[in-house]
Amino acid sequence: MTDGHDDLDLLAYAEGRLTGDQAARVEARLREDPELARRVRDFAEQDRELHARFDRYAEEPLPPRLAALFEAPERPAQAERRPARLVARAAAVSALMAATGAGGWWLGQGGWITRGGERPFVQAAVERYSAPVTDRAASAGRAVAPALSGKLAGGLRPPDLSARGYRLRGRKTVVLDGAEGLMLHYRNAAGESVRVFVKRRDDGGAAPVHTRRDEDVTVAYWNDGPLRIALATRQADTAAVKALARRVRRSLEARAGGTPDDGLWPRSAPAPAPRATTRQASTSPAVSADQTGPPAPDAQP
Amino acid sequence: MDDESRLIAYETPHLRRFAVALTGHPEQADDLVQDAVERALRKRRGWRRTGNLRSWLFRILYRLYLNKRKRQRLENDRARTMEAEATATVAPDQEKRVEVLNIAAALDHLPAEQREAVLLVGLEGLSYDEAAYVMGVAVGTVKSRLYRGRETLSVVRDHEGSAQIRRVK
Repeated sequence: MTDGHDDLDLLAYAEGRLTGDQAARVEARLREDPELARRVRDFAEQDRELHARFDRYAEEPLPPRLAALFEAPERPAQAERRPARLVARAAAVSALMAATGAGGWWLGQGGWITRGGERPFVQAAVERYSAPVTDRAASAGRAVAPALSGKLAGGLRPPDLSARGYRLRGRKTVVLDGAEGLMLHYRNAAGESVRVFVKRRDDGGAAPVHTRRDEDVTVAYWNDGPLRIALATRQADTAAVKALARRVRRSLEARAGGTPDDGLWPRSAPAPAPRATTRQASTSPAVSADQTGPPAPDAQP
Repeated sequence: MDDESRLIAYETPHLRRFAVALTGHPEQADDLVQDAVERALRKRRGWRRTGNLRSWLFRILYRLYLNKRKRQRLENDRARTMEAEATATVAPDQEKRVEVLNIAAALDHLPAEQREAVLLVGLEGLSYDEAAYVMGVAVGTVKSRLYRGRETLSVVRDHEGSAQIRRVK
């Protein structure tokens, strides 16, 4: 370690934020300095432990009082007093939903699985399984593929498979069955490789996770709203591959705030959300949360 | 439910995870999330579609947390609560239990601003820019807090790990 700049490079590398030449320079330093390599591994391990400790709070169903917030009758919003702006924003939202191909898919209403049209996608996953991944480092939990995440509005996060021993090693935008898709590359300590393929789809429907073995590659595949997803590995144990696929599916589902048809968003209007009995009384805030005005890209510090 | 509300619902589990990690107390975390979501739903039309909803929501929650921390002195009982809850966590094996205890205990050794930076970036996967927006500081400040926080975590985890292993034995 020589100076602050180097420290931040190490930090960025451990967090999967360096690519290309920058990453190569850090890797060269790590090969020469085992102590630095140990520190980088430790930084990355911290994130894994954080997820092991806290992910359950994002994966379990919301407590009733939080779920109830989204069941309440429509609240008047400030901009509803500004009709012109409201119309403009509504138009923008509609355009975005059209781009995703299934507005509200993240609520789970699109279901997971579909039949029909999957064969070329699965074949593309098999073919892509052996392609090298060299372009971008990545970390589980970070937003991926700006093109995809933009279309999905909320940002697609790579599933965290560390609980099953797999670490995210890279990501790449690829062509899958004639359309742009995303490949996430995971590897475990034994060097076994798993790749997850994601692309948009335009059809609907629901069906369970399917598996297929082709050219020594086992592929588990399913649909999630506007996405078609495949997981490819050389593991021959279909049950194990399905279990891994379900882990990916749950991780993506956690982004939706609940499993499909979990009753989180019923159409009826329930009572207002109750408060916890342990809740402390509020007083005037020292810092106004109203200062949290709407951000724009250029508003980022 | 309108589209903005759906997007807020989509992010709420992650707000909850961050809030639990921030406060160390699930019940207080849910209070915090409830306040943040209620505020976001009221002001959702103010969110610009081209902006980053996630950062906006985390910023709301973070500001509310700062206010609550000043009033309620959450820090005073954070360590005790987190340790008690971590101990109650049933892990499948001993190694896992030690790991869980380590990270929960180690976080308590960090100054608040370093812990917040580590959680926003390390747990929630925010970019440095996003974390800076949430915390209302410069990007360089986030990097500095993050690095110092990670360094401290490394030292504390080593120490706590050794202590826990000795206790387990």
